[in-house]
Amino acid sequence: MRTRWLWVALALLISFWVLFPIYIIALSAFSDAAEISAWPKSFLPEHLSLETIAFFFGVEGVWRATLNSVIVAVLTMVFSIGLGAPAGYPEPDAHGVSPHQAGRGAALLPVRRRLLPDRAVLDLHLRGSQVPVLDVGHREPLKLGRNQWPEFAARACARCSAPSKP
Amino acid sequence: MINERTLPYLLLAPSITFLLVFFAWPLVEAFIVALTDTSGAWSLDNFETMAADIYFRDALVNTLLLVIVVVPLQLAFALAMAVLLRQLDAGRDLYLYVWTIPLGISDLAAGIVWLALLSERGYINTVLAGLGLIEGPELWLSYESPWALFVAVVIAEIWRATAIVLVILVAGMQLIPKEYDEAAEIFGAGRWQRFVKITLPIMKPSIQTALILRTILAFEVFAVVVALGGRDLPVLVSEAYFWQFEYQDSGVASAYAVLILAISMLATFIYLRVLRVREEQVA
Repeated sequence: MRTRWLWVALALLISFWVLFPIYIIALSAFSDAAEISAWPKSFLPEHLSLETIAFFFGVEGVWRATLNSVIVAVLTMVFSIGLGAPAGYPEPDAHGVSPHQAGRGAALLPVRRRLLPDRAVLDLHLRGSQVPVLDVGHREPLKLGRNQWPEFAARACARCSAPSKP
Repeated sequence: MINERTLPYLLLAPSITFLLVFFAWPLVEAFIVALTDTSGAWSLDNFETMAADIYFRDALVNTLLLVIVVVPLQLAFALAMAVLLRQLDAGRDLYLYVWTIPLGISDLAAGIVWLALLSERGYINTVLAGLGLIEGPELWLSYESPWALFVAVVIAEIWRATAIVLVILVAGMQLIPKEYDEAAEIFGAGRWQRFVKITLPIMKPSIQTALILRTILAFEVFAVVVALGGRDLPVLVSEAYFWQFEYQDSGVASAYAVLILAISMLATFIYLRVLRVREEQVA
């Protein structure tokens, strides 16, 4: 019973470690120029101001840059799903293929074997794509069923071609 | 023309074309640029220029040191966080979401966040001064105190990228049936024993994945270093960047790129061999 409080305290401490820098940068964004170069720094939002943030949005090119980011994000999503989903469909599996898919699955199997000789690399990306985490709230873990391949392959591919660095 | 035999190739064609044009071709191109001199003849000039540059040694040593220090720390923290998450009764989702927030922050933005904290008149110095450890504003992020710069990058990297390791480990840990733990407990295994004998072995595939991804990305550390130290703490990727965009020398920049690729591949190969995962262990 006592250790439970220890776990909660630790969890809160880690949350603080993650959130504190974000709080500080938000605080800086909503402070005036004098406050940003002040010493010593105040940790409380005492001198909130829209000066810095207003200046930021007035800078030439901010909206253009934002628009560029949105365009890149949308194109990345379209390309990764558009390229990844067909490539991952359907999952070839000698045991788990449903009857109506069996023909195509069986045909795809040797092709995939030929093109992807190293299963280890594929597994690496699949495991790296953190699929089961989406189900974290539930006691029963989401099993990586072989028939769910298209979805997982699409996700894995989205990760390979996405330019962001985790 | 679309039949059982051609369909797989048609489905795979778009992604293979994409990979060939935007991945394989630039890769070959980079090798060619790195291995030719200005007249277009094959030579190792670029690699010689790279190795003779005054920043090269420091860049190589700093990058390797960063990987050696950051990756094990991140693995240890992420493992501890994943185990802690399992112990909590309430709010598990919320904690996981909060802890993975840095995943959504770009690396340059993370560098700037830590710049605000660690700068001369920043928040960390305010705390240190409040505790009486320093007297006034003190400049840490400078070439005069390379160790402080190094520690700053390590802290920022741990803050920024531990989440990716955590997410992979949490995914792996979810696949461990609770019954294993309970059975071991009944037989009298302690907390530490259960962790070492049950959790760790089952999580080997996840740990391998996390290590490979994280190590490759650690070799590519760039934006955080540049935000915090500019060129005062040279690393391999920042040198590639400076050679490309400051000196306009694609040849040497490509030589750096080839070197980074070689190191990353070697590290991956070692992980795959050392942490060999049997087929039945793959979750």
